[in-house]
Parts: sequence; structure tokens; C-alpha cells
Amino acid sequence: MKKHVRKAVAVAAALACAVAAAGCGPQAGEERTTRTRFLLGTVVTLTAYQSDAGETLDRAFERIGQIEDEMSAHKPDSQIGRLNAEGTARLTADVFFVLERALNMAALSGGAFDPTVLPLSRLWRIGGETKQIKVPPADEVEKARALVDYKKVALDGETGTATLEKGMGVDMGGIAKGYAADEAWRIFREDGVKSAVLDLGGNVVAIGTRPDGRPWRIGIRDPRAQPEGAHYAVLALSDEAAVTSGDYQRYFEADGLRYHHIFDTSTGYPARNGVVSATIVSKDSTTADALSTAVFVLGVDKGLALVESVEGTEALVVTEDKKVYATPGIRDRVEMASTEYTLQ
Amino acid sequence: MKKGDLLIIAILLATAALLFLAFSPRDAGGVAYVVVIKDGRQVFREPLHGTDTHWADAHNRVVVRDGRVWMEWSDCANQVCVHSGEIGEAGQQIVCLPNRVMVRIEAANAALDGITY
Repeated sequence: MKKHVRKAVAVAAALACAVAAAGCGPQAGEERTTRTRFLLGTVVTLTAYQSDAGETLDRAFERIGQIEDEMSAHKPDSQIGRLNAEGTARLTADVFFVLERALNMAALSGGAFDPTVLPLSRLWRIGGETKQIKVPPADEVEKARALVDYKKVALDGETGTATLEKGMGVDMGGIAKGYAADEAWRIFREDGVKSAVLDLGGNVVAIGTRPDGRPWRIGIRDPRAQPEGAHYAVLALSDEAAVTSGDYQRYFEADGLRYHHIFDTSTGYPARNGVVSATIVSKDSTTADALSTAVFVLGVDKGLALVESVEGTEALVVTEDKKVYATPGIRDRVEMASTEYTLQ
Repeated sequence: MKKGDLLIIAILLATAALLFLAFSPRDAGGVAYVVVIKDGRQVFREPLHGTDTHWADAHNRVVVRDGRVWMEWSDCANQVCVHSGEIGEAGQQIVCLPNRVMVRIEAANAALDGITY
């Protein structure tokens, strides 16, 4: 009899261990460190799935804050602020590096992404703290558009100096968040964090895997859902960044038209080609950030072709008629979450 | 049935009961919480359901009622937060950037680990 009892105890213990190891219990999720800060003009939430990651989070936030201080076009004291005010500035190595990458992405996308968009964003003032509701006069739009041209930025690698032509301005808003995400990602990696999710205002980095070893489940916001937070699809990601550009992030409506914050630099007006949301998945968040803007501006066909030409990047694009277009490499990791949207 | 069999059954049943308790939905994070973060600090955390309460300071007022949460009032210029409407599911959030306030719904076993937007 005692033998049987021992067997039963062994079975019970094995069962308990199996359940614990499967990680389906709360233990797997509760061991986490999470903090939220308002940086880069948005909400930044960093979550490490281990209990003792406070110092890693602090270092990452500090680095993100430093990038904001260096690169914000809204801060006159920042390096980009000085470059815009004076037309020329010596930049620190990392600001120079990011500006150079931005110009490369501009060349790659034929100017669909262009960091010299500042004259347009200043004129339109979409999504500022005060409400903009007016469409600027056409001649002013044309004047601002004529000042946008990434080819007119001169970089001197030896002195680290950037120089603009008169009236031009640089806005790193389309790439700095991506770079900040990459830098935070590097810090997490250096500290050996194996399981974490970084969210820099919707730029997500899924580090490693979930604590249970499965890929992270990252939703893509439904571009037409109210309230915010509903998603149209779920991506299975592991050690990847996802960045989305959408016409719902910052916009105003006038005469039945939506004027959002992503400009077609060839017209000076918000891009209008049927795209309402463009998501890029990549091992590199800086690339993903710039590409999401480029794809949004280029439209479905040219946008997807561009993404397929860049190794290790994938894209999902949503059009006004709620059709979803995806590059082949991401299809088997997309789970549709809304019946209103159809994957083509 | 032998006495030993009963004992074995009892041990297995007890284990099953313990496992059920340990991993029951309540403990596994089925409870959702409304969290308000102001300037990076958590200033409010209450269960989403079964609550009729609010959080307010001089600039914003958040209402939690019947499993729904909304920004009732804000003194900010753009009123984006007030126009965000109601939220009620884990992962959803309302943000007031000018006043540096974020309201979000948290649950340990949320269906998503993040949202790109």
C-alpha cells in the first residue's frame, strides 16, 4: 500500500511541476518591472519581465531623454534646434549618425520620407497643443514645399557639421523615436534582459520572447476604431520592432476632409492615396520608423515594393476600404482580429 | 476498493484542488485594473469592475463606472483625451499629453502584450 501512496505523491508532484513549468500560472506574468514616462512628446512605457530590472529601465529612460534633448526640433537649445535657427551646426556623433541615416532613408524612398519636412509641419501645425483647424493658403503651402529637399543638406563627416540652405529646417520626428527605441533595446540587451516590451508612443520593440517562451502578441491599432486601443490584427513577434504610421494619430477635419500629419513632400499636402495605416516590422526600429512614413506616402504598390527591397523588413498596409496588404514574409505571423478588415 | 486506493484518490484530488485554486481565473489575472499615471507616477489603481469612482486633480477628471472608463474633463487646449471616448478592455488607454496624464487598463493575462499605433 505504501508503495502506491508514494506513486500517487510522485504523480501529484509531477503534475504540479508540469503546470508550474508550463508557465500558465500568474507567476510567469507577475515578475515584471514596468514604468511610464512622458518623453519624445509621447508616452513611453518600458516593461521587463523580471523583478529586478529597475536600473535597466532607468538607464533606458535616461538615454531616451538625452535623445529628445539632442534632437527635438521643438527645443531651441537642442542640436537640431540650433541647426534650424542658424542654418549650420556641429553635431555630436549620434545626432550626426541619425541625421545621416535619415538622409539615406530619404534617398532610398525618393523623398517620400524626408527629414527636411519642417517648413511644412510648421505651416500646418497639425497635432500641436492648440487646435489647428484651418487649411493654409495654397501659395503658402507651395512656398513651404519648395523648401523641403533632403538633397540640400550638406554633411561634413570630418567636422561633424551639418549645413542647410536658407529657410530649410530639419524635423527628426519621423526617425528619432525609432532611434530611441533602438538605443533602449541596446541597453536592455547589454543588461541581459531576455523578455521585455518597449512602447515608445506606439513604436513597439518585442525583446526576446514572452516568459513562457512563446512569441509576443503585438496588436496593430484599428485605424478607424473609437475608442483608441482596439486592434485589427495581432502580430507574433520575437526580437523585432514594429512601427506604425497612421492618419488617425494627429489630424483635423475641414470641409469633410481629414488633414493628418504625414505630408506628401511632392505636393505639400497630407498624403492622400487611400492608405490609412502602414506598419513596418524590422530588426531595426530606426529603419522601421522612417519606412512606415515612406510607405504611408508611397501607397500600397510602391510602398510594399520598397519594403521588399530592404532586407529583413516586412509591412502591413491598410487602405480606406479596410483592405490589408502584407509582404509575403509576415503573412504567417498575422492573425486578423476584426471581421471588418480583409487580408488580401 | 482498498483503503490504499482511497488514499491515492484523495491525494490526487487534493492536488487537483490545490492546482485549481492556485491557477483559478481570479488569481491568474482575470481582474482588470484602472491605472492612472501622472508625470510618470502611478496616482490611482482600482479594479475596473464593481467600482463607481473617479480620479481627479486640478487639471483632469477620470471616471470609472460599470466597467467603463473615460476622461470626463480636462483643462488642456486640444481636448484629445476628452474626445477619446470610453475604454473598457485590457491594453486600452487614454492619454492627455499636455497634462502628462495616462489612463490605462491593466490585466496580468491580457490578450495582447502591446499595441503598435
